Amino acid sequence: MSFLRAMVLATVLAAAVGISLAAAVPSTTSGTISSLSPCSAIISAPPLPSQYYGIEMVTTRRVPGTGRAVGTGMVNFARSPFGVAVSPSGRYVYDLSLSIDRIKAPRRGAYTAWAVAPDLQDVVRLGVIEEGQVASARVTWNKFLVVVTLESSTEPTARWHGPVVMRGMSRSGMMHTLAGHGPYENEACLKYGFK
Amino acid sequence: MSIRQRSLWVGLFLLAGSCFDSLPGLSAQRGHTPEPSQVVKTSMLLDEQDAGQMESMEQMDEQGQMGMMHMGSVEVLGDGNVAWRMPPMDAPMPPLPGLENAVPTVGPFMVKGDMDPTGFPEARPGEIVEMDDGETLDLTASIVQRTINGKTFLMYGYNGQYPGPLIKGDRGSTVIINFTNEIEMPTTVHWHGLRLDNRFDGVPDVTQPPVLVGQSFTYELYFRDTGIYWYHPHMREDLQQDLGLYGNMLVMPPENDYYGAVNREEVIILDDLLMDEQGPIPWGDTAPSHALMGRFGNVLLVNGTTDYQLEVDRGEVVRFYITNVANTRTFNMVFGGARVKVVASDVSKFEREEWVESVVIAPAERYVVEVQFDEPGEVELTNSIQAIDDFMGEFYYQLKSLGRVTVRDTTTTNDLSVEFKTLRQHDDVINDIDGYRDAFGREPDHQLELTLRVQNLPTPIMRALEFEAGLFSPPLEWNDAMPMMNWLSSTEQVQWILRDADTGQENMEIEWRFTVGDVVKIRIFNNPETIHPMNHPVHLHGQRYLVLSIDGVPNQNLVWKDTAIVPVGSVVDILADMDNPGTWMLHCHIAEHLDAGMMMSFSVNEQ
Repeated sequence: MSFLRAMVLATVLAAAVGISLAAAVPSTTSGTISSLSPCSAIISAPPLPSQYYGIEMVTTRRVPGTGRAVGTGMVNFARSPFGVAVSPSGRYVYDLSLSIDRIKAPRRGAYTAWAVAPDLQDVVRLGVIEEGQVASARVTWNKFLVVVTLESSTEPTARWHGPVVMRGMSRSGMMHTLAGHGPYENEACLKYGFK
Repeated sequence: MSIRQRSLWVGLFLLAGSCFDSLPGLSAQRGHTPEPSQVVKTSMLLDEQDAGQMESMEQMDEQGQMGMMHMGSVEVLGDGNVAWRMPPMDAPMPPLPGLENAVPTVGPFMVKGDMDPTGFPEARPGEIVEMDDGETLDLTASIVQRTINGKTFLMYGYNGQYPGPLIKGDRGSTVIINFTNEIEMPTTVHWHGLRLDNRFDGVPDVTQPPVLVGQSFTYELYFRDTGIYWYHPHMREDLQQDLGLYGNMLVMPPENDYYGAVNREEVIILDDLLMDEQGPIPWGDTAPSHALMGRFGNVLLVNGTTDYQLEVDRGEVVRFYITNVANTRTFNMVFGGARVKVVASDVSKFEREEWVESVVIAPAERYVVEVQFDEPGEVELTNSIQAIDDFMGEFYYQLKSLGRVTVRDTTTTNDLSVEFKTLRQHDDVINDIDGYRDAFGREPDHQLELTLRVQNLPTPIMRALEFEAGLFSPPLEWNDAMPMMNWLSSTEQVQWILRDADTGQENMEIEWRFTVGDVVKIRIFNNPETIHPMNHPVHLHGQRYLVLSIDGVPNQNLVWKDTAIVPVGSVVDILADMDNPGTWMLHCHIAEHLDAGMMMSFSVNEQ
């Protein structure tokens, strides 16, 4: 993927998941950066899957009845005696759960949720999903995308065939090269394989 | 005395030691010729705040507690023999523009100023010391000569050994340790995980005064719980522990069937050391470098060596007692294709044994696993991680060898396959925990937020941190993804924080008070919305706790812990059994984070 395409994708996806990079950067005062607020409200609430690694699903508006659709993917470490679940190759092992809302039932077919590696080759089917329902599966990728598609039937298939209705990406998808950015803004991207 | 004061005090002590050295080898000091990009730091001018701290040190000196410290000037001269060198990187990245020649704000430290090591005794492999109830062991921290990766240099060792002697005793016994400090700076010994008498917990200025150079302290160790424990300094762990001051204690059960049957037992200490072609990268003198992420080593060590080897017969079942003593590295240890069963952790067995494919172990944690080697040949033990190249913004697979098990073609005469294939349920642990289950669902008694504050970091580092702050921080840092930024950050610039979410108090301001018998639920939130979030292995001294849940998911297989990972962004609920009276510490066990203030104390009072 070219650097430009990567940038566009990152920008689009960052916007899609509702994260303002500027807003996320703490304020600077005379070279001193304080940590953000204590988040007492967050800490006092019943513990939930980490909001930080949450995946906001965004509608593609390609299918009637989905224009206002919203959804959230959440990841929890798969159960492990070590607290953090990691595969023998070092990848995090997550239980991914997806819920969608404000979506009308399709006239025909079924909405189906999928997780897919960035190369779009390896696919995990979370299953059929409807408004207010949760679909879940285990994923072991460093980065991944989550999509909801409109399939012609509820029969399990290896990968999707219908149109993408909603999409989102794992937080790790926002990891970004420093070449050409921040303190490295004068570093030529081409030198590092980005075109 | 504050942490910063204590750190400064240790730093000044060792600088003074390098100035007035009289040990053999002084005349044969090895000179470094700095590379053009290197800066030799030979002096340090203390600021007014530091001078104020020194004043309090002198007061302590008058009380006879600080001994040899004699500082008449605020300028301390080093011997000029130690130079900073930029640490090697896993993944090459250009230096931060504007910081090409930068070095940490603290001076570089090497044992004895990196003098010729030949005048010092060569360290020898750790020995097993089996101790009966009431027996005494003399334990000395001293300077030793080590050769690692073909480089010979000075390190520290307990009783001249690497690791320190394995102290083996029976559950319920008490042993005496006469400790003597023969390194260059004050130290103490903390007996990690033991629920022992508070007076012997080894925390300077909390449970005892620091043990000054040449002085001694007598510890009494009560082995209350079966399992694997470890001992290490509780002063400048980033330096003293990294230089080799660590060892295990193995507390044996009276029951013959406490663990499953095995053919042999192995005690393994995982560590890492940061080296280049010249030897170890210097440590910070008056304060640690690598304050952001902790000092990751690039040379992985098992029991202090790079060539751990074990030979077994085909079919043997080996029980490994594993301890991670690294400053900051979490390991993902893989035993080739062998089958692995996890049996126990810090302070107890699990409720139920489980099959696992690898062992994830954070600094200071311990795990007991049983492994069957049923195929002849070589089994490589590896650390298998998804590292991050921060400059390129990519994950990459990093596989490093930890050692090797040679499985002979001779089948063991004592076949334990049937026992090994059985996953045992530990009713003794379940029954013990049953007494605490009523408290699992209640609201937390206390809430801690983990965060940090930085000041005066160089502008390019701040810009890089700002750029990345809103993007992605991994739940765990498996490698030093930003080696230059990390190296250049000292604990003078980075303050890691435990914040009481209810009172707003931070670190040592926090004053939690309990009564013996209290069962306390603590909710720990590792705030990801900071300029550099990071995982923290949270350690509780003198007590034991259960990890009840992570991010609201209940833990279905409990085990008593004293240290557990709190990943970035996670909320971890723990339940502490406060049954050991005294004043105790709760802190992050990343050595640099501890020195950067990430600690608090709490008291448990008699009823």
